[in-house]
Amino acid sequence: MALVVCAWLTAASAAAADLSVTAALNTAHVAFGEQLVLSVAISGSGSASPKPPLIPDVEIYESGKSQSMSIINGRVSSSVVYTFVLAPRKAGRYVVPPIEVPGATPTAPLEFIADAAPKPDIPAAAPPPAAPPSQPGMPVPPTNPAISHPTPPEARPTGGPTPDAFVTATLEKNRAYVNEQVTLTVRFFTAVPLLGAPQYDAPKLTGLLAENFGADTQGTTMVGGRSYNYSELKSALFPVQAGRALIGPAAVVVQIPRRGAANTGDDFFDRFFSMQAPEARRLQTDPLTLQAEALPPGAPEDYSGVVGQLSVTASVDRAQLKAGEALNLTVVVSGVGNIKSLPEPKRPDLPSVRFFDSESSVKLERFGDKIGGTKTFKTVVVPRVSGPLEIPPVTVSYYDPAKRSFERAKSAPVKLTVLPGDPNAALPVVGPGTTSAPGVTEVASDVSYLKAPGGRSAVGDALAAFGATGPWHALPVLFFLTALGVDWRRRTASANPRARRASEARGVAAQRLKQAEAQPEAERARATALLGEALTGFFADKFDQPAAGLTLKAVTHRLQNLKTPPTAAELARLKSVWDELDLLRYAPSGAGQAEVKRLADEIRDLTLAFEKGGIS
Amino acid sequence: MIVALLAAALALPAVAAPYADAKAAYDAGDFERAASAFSALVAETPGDAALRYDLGNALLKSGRLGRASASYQRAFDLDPRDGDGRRNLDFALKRAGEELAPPGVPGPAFTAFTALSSRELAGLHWLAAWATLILAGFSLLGAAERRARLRDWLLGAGAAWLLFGLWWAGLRAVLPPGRGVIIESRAELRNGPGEKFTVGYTAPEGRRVRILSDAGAWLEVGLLKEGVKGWVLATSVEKL
Repeated sequence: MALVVCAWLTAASAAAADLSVTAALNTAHVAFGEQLVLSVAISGSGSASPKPPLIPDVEIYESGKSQSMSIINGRVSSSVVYTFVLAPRKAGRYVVPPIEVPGATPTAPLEFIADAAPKPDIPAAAPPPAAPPSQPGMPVPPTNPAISHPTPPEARPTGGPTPDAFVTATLEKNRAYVNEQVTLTVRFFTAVPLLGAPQYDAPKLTGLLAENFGADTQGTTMVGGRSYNYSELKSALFPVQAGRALIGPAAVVVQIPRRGAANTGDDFFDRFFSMQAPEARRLQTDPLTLQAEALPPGAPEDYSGVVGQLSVTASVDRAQLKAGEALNLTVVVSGVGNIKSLPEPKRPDLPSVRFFDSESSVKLERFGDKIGGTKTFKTVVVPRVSGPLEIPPVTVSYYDPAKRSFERAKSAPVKLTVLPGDPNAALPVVGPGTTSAPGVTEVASDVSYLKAPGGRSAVGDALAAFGATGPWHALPVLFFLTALGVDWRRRTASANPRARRASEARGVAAQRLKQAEAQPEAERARATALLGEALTGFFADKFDQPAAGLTLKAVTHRLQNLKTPPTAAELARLKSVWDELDLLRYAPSGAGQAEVKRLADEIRDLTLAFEKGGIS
Repeated sequence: MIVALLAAALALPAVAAPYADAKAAYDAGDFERAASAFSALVAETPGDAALRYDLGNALLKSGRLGRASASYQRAFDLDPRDGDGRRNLDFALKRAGEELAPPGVPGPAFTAFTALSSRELAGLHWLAAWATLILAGFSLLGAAERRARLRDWLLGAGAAWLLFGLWWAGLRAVLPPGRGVIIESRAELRNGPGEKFTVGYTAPEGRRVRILSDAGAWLEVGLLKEGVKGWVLATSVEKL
């Protein structure tokens, strides 16, 4: 025994001489909303422990430490691994500063990236390391059970005779959401008295955080017909990101008495002298894997990252104070889940209140096979202005695996009465020599004050009235269409002068008749000539012929050859008027005014009749 | 004439007195009474944006966010260049989880886009249309010389017609005529017009909706921000 102690001390002093610290991240890429694990390993001796690094916009908390000790070729070496959980609060590239431990060289800075969008499918982690070769008599741990079928509490080694001691490790389930608790149970069985206390070497975790349940459970059970004493240690594991997480072998180093071949006698001295040096045996389990799945989509903006059930309360240490005075606002979030990783709930948006930095504390509790507890955030609050003040409910969103939905826990609002404070104290403090003026601070948001009626824009009203005139807006359209028609007609006429002459024939004739009627008594001959020009010109225009030389016979012939020739009566009237005009043309006195008027009316009737008859 | 002047002189205090009463009630913190008084004034002068703005203030202060939002919206429709009206409407909308400017649209751009009301844009559109058509008519009727002289004016009027027409159409797309505001807290949007249909969504009071169809006691509405639709009791919506 003294030899063992000496060896231990020698090894310990040797370790102190080469104290070293290393830091590693479990991944260099995480999706926003996930967490990553920083492991700081300190090898050697001493009580120094690393401080959590300070990284802006990253929530950091210590997740625990694990100590391991190994004896290789008689040399004892120990290392302590401190685990920190990093939860980025926004996407971006981050740098973990060097970790400093007194007496050791600082670590190199580390970098990681938080992606804005959640990774849809994270590739599986590296394949688990090959399981160490099973020691003789080493039990085989049971296979991971399905999610809905927890492992039965009893474990039994398979194959061969029952060993003197063995260790098993089981997972509550082999699939879970990121940050959902999965219970790991490690049991150590022994059927023989051990020399010295067994040393437990906790499994190395990759992509997982662990919280121990506290004191282990002990008892006696029968395995394969042999009575064993067992110790049971439970841990709550939380996957930090989607993908395959690894649970390394859990190991127990025991000193088992070695007996000689003839040690089965009943004589005490035979048994005592047949005993040999104890056998140091390392018992370990096979590694386990856990498939971590990303949470379903639809996480609210204020999702805290906790999977479990939470409740929130908010309270203040007094309900009445003066403006400018401080009070303590205590927000307590409690429930089941990885409460340690919970960030501070979002503060209410109250410009009239100043919030100082919060201090948080965590108390973990065990609820059956689940771990949880309370996280308390204490904030100093200073109302800036007097009047009634209501601090709105504080909310925390989480994913409830039982309901399979995102839920939101909400506290009751906190009502305060703020009395007017000391006016001098409320003034902004400007130090001596300060040249910059104090800035304007919005302390409350409200609607603007009343506005006197009237003051409307006359132009705006006129425009609105004009826009609402309805059918009147058809007027410019009609004008435009009319202009378009006129223009079309003009263009058509200019393109066909014969048709234009025919279409204007009656108008020209009417104009001449009017001129004839307007002639004075002294100009009888001129009036008679105009009447003749009106009649012959009409037919000349219609037949597109020169008026000079156009005879009654030629006109009658053309009229009779029309598709719809005029009636005989109409032709007779035409002959009568034509002859009468010829007679008057050569008469010395010409026609009187009354006669001119009568003849003009007759010609008008005739041209109208022929126009209607379709002469062209 | 004298009688008319006398009537006008007597009428002025008669209009001013109810406003003074409403303002006094508002200043005294009696927002319910102020809301009633402003409501009566709005009924008399529905085209006054300031009165609708004041009514919105009184309604908001008396806790009726939905009706306040509707009143602010009407004031905004009448006078979009009023900064206070715009600010108060945005304040009310934010309480209902919405903002005046659509998501992704910069505030100054939206302010410029809504600087003219729909009614004013309609007037400008028709004015430009009249000018364009009349100039085009004269141009058609005139000789080649006149046409050349009117060409630049005609092009300018046509461009203005196009600009104001597109602007007006865009504004009607952003602020469509068939709108309403939810006036009940957590109004239930069902999958059909009746209690037998399941509730698909709930909408907070003060949220603007577009009225898609009217079935009497039920209205089919679409939430402008989320782009979802459902049937809601007609009493839960105030039509704009």
